[in-house]
Amino acid sequence: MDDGQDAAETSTFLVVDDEPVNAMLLETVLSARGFRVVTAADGEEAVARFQEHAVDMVLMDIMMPGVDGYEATRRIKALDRGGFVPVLFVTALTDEQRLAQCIEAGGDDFVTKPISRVQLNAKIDAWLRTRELYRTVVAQRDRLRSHQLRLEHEQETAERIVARATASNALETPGLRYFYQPAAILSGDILLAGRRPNGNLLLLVGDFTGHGIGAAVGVPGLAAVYYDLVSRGAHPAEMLDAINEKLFRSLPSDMFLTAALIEVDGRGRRLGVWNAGMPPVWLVQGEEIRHRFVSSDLPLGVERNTAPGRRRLTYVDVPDDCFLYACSDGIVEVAGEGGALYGDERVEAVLRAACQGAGFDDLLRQVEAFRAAAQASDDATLVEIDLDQAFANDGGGYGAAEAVHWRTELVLDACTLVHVNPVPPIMNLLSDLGAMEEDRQSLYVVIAELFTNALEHGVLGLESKIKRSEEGFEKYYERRREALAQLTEGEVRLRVHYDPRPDSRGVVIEVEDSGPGFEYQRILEAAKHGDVAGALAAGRGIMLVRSLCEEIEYFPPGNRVRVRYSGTLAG
Amino acid sequence: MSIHTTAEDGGKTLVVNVRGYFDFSLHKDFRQAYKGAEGIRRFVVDLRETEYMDSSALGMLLLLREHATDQGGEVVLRNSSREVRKILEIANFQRLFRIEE
Repeated sequence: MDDGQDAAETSTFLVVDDEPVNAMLLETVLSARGFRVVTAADGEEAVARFQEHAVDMVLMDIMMPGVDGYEATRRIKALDRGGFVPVLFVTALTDEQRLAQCIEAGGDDFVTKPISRVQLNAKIDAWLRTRELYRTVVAQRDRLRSHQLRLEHEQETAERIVARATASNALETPGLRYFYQPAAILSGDILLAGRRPNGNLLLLVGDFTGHGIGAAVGVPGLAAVYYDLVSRGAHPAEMLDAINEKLFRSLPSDMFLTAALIEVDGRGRRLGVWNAGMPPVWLVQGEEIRHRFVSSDLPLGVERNTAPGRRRLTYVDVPDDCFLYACSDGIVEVAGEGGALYGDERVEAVLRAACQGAGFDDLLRQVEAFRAAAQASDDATLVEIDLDQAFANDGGGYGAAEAVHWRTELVLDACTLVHVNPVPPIMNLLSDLGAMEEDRQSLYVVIAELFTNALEHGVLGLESKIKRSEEGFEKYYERRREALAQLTEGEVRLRVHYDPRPDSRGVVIEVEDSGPGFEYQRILEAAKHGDVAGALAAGRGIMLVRSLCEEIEYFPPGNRVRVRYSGTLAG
Repeated sequence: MSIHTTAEDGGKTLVVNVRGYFDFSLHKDFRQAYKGAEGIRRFVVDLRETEYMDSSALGMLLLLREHATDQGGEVVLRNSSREVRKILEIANFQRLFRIEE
């Protein structure tokens, strides 16, 4: 900001007077103080000069031929867009009405004739200060406005990211209705819906601590993990562990996620709910609250997993005509006149009184009516599921015992075996085609062991015996590497047949290699008794396979094996 | 890296974390993780981030156990998922290792 001296040195004055003597007098006073001066002899010329020069203040005579002082002032003020150029009328008039006209025309002050040097200087200084202050305020306002615009733009971008990250077709499931209202542009509330490979709908209703940007930054990461886990058929208990771990690692310690995870199992007509820190999840039938799933666990991201698989959903069988309601605390904790909170009881009363399927609209209406006018709203989410409808549209997912049968064969030649480990892609295939759920680790072991045996013993001709000691272990894998690098002949065929029967997952896996076969009888015998740790190193894998599969069959000369995995050990 | 280590108990315990597929491809890294640890007798294998393990992983655990026993120490398996736990139990590893939740 300029001080008085700087302003004096740089300011430019426009002096308007048809009397050269008057103009010269003013010019003398102003020049003596170092101001630049531009003069005009009438209103017309004044407007022209004003447009030519960057004028800081105008001293204006009133009575002039042609365009007078009033009109010139009006035109100058109209030309001055936001810069604020004070216009001081220099006049001998004292008549109130004339002076009022000056103000009407846009004038800011008066200097009386005859000119007093002291009075003139005092007014000029005062107006220069005012003008400076005005400019500072305007500059700050403009800066604020541009910050505000940028912030809004950034929030809108963030909102689009969040919206994309959480979007899911599963939210369009028939029978599912939801209301989602952020308090600010961005919300800490989160609503995720996905279908497990078995067709079950899995819904997460959650609330990050706080709201606005701080709360919303956690949403996309959570959504990505959630949808990945759901589509891979992860067990809900494992999902919750994985989400907890992810949040614990990525969030600051004062931030966490309260959440309810809801599984809608259409084939079993079951409902599973896990609730940590959310309002109750209600299962309503007519006027009766059939079940109230209350919070039973710590929110996610608060502490490390101590007992994996501990976060279990509570499952209940669902009779006909049931509706499920879940909400965030933005519904339950709405404050009414006098500060009272809406509360669980009021929610339940509305849900019980509502006609079939009207609970959703009734509740939103009642909550809005209850809210005190002055009360700012919190992030709020409400979900309703008409379970009969949801059950009838269970997504036609895979995994229904009769739904899917498929088989595939993968033939890996020598060149491919050198470069590719087919087990991970086969695991993905199984998952995508719905052949596995919670027992994927077991299926992995079965497939990995059978493939490893076929490759290492059948095709590469390696002996497992040496693996028993540490050096042997190293040597074994060194030989494996060498043998694989030199491999020019041989192949492994992997056949997977998804053949579910009622109450059995039914994956048939057959592996055949181009090797000469091996003494499978001896290995099978050895694997039958004795534990894995004590077993021959070669028998270890086979023994795991034996324990996990209900059928295992080798075909002479021992280069082809077929197993049937049923997942009966699950649970 | 699929394997990383941390110290516990003021450096008296070595914790080995295995992420993703715990199979033969990790055997060098896994061995290196504990071979360099002079004077340490207590080893924890943290399976929190282990997605899949097969019999070669079991072999590697047995080798670690051998190493620990030579030092007069022990091996603890920690944070196994429900399914990995099942594999460990089929292999009767609860008789050889302390399995912690």
